[in-house]
Amino acid sequence: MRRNQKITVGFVAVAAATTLLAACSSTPAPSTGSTGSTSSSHNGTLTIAESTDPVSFNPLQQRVTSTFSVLRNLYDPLVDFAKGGSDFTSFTPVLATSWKQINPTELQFTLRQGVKFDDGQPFNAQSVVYTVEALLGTLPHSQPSLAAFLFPTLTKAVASGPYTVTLYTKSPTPDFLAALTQLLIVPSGSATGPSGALASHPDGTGAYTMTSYTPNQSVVMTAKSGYYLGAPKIHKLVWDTIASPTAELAALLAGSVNVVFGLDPTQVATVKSSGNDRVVTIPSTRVAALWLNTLSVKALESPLVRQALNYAVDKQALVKSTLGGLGQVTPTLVPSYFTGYNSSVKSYPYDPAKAKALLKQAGYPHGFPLTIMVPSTHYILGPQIVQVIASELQQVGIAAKIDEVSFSSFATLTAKRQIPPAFYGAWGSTYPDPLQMFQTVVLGGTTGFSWYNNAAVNKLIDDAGVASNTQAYTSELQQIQSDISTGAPFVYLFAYVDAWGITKGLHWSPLSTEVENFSAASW
Amino acid sequence: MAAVPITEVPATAPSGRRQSAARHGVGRYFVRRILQAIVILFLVVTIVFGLSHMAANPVDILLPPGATAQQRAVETQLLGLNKPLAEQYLIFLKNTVTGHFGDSTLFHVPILPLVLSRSLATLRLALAAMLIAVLLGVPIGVLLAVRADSWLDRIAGVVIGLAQGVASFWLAVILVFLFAVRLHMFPVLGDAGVSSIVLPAASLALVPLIAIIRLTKSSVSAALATDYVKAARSRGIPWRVVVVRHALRNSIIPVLTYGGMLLGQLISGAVITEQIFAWPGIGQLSIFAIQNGDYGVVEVITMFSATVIIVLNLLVDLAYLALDPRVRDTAGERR
Amino acid sequence: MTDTAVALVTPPARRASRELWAGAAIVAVFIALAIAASWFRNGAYVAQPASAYLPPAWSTGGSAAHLLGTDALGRDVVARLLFGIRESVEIAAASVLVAGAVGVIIGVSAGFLGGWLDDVVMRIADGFLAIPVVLLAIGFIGAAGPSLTALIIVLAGTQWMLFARVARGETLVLREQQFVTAQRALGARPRRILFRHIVPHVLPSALVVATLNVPTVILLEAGLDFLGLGLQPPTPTLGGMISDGLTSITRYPLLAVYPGVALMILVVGINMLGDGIKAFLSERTG
Repeated sequence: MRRNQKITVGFVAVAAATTLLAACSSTPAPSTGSTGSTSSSHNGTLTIAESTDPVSFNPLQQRVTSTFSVLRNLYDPLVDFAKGGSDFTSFTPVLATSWKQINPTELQFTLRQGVKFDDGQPFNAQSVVYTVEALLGTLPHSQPSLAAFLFPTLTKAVASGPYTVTLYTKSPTPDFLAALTQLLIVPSGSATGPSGALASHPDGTGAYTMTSYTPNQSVVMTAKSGYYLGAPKIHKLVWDTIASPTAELAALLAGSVNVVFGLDPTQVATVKSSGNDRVVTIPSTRVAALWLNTLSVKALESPLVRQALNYAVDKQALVKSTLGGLGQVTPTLVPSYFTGYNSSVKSYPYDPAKAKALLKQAGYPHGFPLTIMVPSTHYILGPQIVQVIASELQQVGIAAKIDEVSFSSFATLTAKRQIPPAFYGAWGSTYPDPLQMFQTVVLGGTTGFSWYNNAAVNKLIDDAGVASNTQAYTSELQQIQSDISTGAPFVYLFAYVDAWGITKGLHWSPLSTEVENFSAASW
Repeated sequence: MAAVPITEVPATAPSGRRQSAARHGVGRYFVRRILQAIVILFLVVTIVFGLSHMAANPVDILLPPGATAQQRAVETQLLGLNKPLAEQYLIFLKNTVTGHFGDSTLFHVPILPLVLSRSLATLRLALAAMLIAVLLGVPIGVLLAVRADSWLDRIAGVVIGLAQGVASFWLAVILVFLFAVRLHMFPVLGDAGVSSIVLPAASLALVPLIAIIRLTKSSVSAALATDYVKAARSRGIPWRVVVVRHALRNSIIPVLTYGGMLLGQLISGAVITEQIFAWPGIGQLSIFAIQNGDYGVVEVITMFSATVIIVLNLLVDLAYLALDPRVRDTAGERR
Repeated sequence: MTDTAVALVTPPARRASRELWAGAAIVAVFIALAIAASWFRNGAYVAQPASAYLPPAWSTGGSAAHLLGTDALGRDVVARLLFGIRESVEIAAASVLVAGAVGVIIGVSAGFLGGWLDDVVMRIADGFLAIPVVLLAIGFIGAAGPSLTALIIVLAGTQWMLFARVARGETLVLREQQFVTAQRALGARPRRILFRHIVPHVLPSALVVATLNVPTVILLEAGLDFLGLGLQPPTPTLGGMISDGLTSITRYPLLAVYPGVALMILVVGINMLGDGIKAFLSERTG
């Protein structure tokens, strides 16, 4: 009988050990309210779902919107858009208390006093100077940081007192203040470069301070009680990394997550029918299009061919059926509420016959091969949209092929400028003005994200960049839209309408820029 | 997630070596097995190195995505990626042995501690799955052996046959739908207490469960057919005693043999299971890493898993000497 | 003869052949389905978002044009299932062929030549065996990028060891048998002995291993498709369909069920066929 007992004891021991192990979870459960919505205080905690970790905690070494969202709560800019970021026509003081345009290329800021970084360092003019130098790569042994492309005309910052600093641009820049809402200030001397300490240990003046980071799991931050703009009402923010949309949805429905960005149409219906959550839809500044390599692909050098591609795609059906209405067709790259929107430029209608005729006219009666690259994550329904587009292109004789890659490959390949003839991308402007987008994706040359080079359009963009009055500025922007509509360096698609899933009871509204700033949110 | 035919259960120590244990003594066998394990470990490192160089240009896969040309030059220098292949291999070997794997380009934290901490979650999942497989599988196997050729056996045969075609990730999806979405009985996300391990462990347990049922059934059947057992039964000793004392003992060896190979399959299955249930283990980490271009993490996870498997197989082989020093044939392996 | 002995002799012959025929029938049906896929080419690839998520023909809102309904992009489910089956069978067959060829050659060489070569080769096989299959796939395909070649390399690379072991085991036995030692005594060259005498005797076992290995590879390949590491969209794959089904599981659960059922029946059919062949062959020689 002993052997029998030994075996039984063995089994029981293993069972007990495993139960013990399973019970001691390695991470604490997200401490939000339970499945019911009655615990409205939610323990002063807000849990937000993100699909990836922040790519870096150094605000100068990232250019991903979701990362910027997280960092915006840890760091502050000099100024921000008014009304919690939703009013793009006026600015509110943050780290700067007032500003004055001394001359068209010099903008002087008076800085707030008595503000400290997380590590205790005081915030002053030197911090701003250091941030600008680190951004531009003008420090010894440094290179321009990843975020530098957002400030193409910024040249330097000069302190003229402990709390006065002047920013210099190489030419008058109409949208300079708007761009500065993206410049998060870092402490003087904090490590820069991709492998510096700031990349993993944030040090900012923002409303929250990071208390823990578990890679691929969560970022936890707690409110600063002495925050100079008023202590946040929500004491703790937990950013959970949830890679799968299904898991995100389940977490929202179960109440373990309170904010989910980017629901797809089937998920919207499910969330709407649940009792505890609401769906908020808001037009996004993110515009989707197919970039066409007009520089090195022979077939795409012809404007007729590019127009044909635009006629071949049914954008209305795409928005209505594939996006379930969560989109707005855009005639070019500019949504209707952007500055300088040209309402007389119309969208290409869906006309496959005309597309075939144009192809024949251009010398491609039997079409041509076209590979379209799309990242599998990051752009909502990107792969599905490209599958529909490829299918429609095949109907007019173009041998469209899809190359679905990981987002990191997409980022690497586009950075190395090694792209296939076309790729699907969605550009999210940081404020509703198309100039920065034109400067990055339309302005010719081999920089940034542009694979188009048209002298007339380039001149218009350069002129708009130094426009001296709003009338000239607007008319130049409108002319650009008219030109790129005819020239069609893109297959124009739509602007996303973002669907957010939010637990009922949260007083917070999402922004069209997708930035999640919770310093003013409350339950 | 693969169907494992029971005839192919190769232990990493084929019977020849057990013979040699009998011939040359336990001590030498000990040493030989450990040396062999070290050789295999070394080969694993070589295979990982070879694969990553055969598959892609390491400059491309080991750098952070979207790195500028200047950053690429700096990192290439740092990682020694511009040296000749043989030298790179030696550097890789040295780094692996000393545990210097550098930082994750994705998370900016050292890779080895990250992998080690995440492996605990995977370990718990694997243990839970094994527990289910053993606690359910052994009794069922015994039952089927005792009731061989009955209607129960035939029905069970059909069910088991069908179950071998069930992909474990498909089972996971079905479980998600039934229990989490429809019935709201279990959480679907991550690691938040005891109840959240149930669904992932259940879907992971399918493959080992089937294997253990079949193994137990066949070895118990074999034991029940021996004259010794028949004699015991004829003396009036009850089934339960006979089964547990004599038949069950014999089934431990094959299950243990299978166990060494099982861990590799469990980790494989865990990768997909963790992905579906957002379970924070090394499986999900490896997928996340490869989707975001952090190849270094995947290399370390691969080598770490292989090491665990090799060590476990070694322990199992050495445990044989304690359990049964007689020479035994492993199923499917000729002498 | 006791009753047990009689029982052991007669039923197995009948049981084996029933299993064999049933398995063969299932496999034949699936191969026919795979071939029939060509008639449905448009249905599997042309995306018609306006007719997304149509229910099966027998439900309200369904239509006879789409027997099992449509998926998220309006593509016919039946068409995608058929193509998925074809792709599963083709890739698994190709991979097992490659793994078998490589494995048998390596195993026979190792067994025949023996010595340190045998040891080295078997340790390399152990090295491969120690690496969890999916991690190997993630590593290789993650680095090389997904493609048909990478997929077959990975699948073959994780299965050749099985064939090598069996081939080596058989070779070790055959090497000592009379007809081989006779050949050596006659001075025949090793290569001749290998190919004319040893390999043909190893092949039946290799065939059995192959048939039993195909289901494993089918499920493994489906798993890689599920993870997005296998064939890329819009190519229909059963694993990919399950992954797509997961994203809409809350509202359209059936879309995830169909491909899994197809996989299950296919695997079960091949298993039955394989078991049947094994029993048949071992009867002949035993």
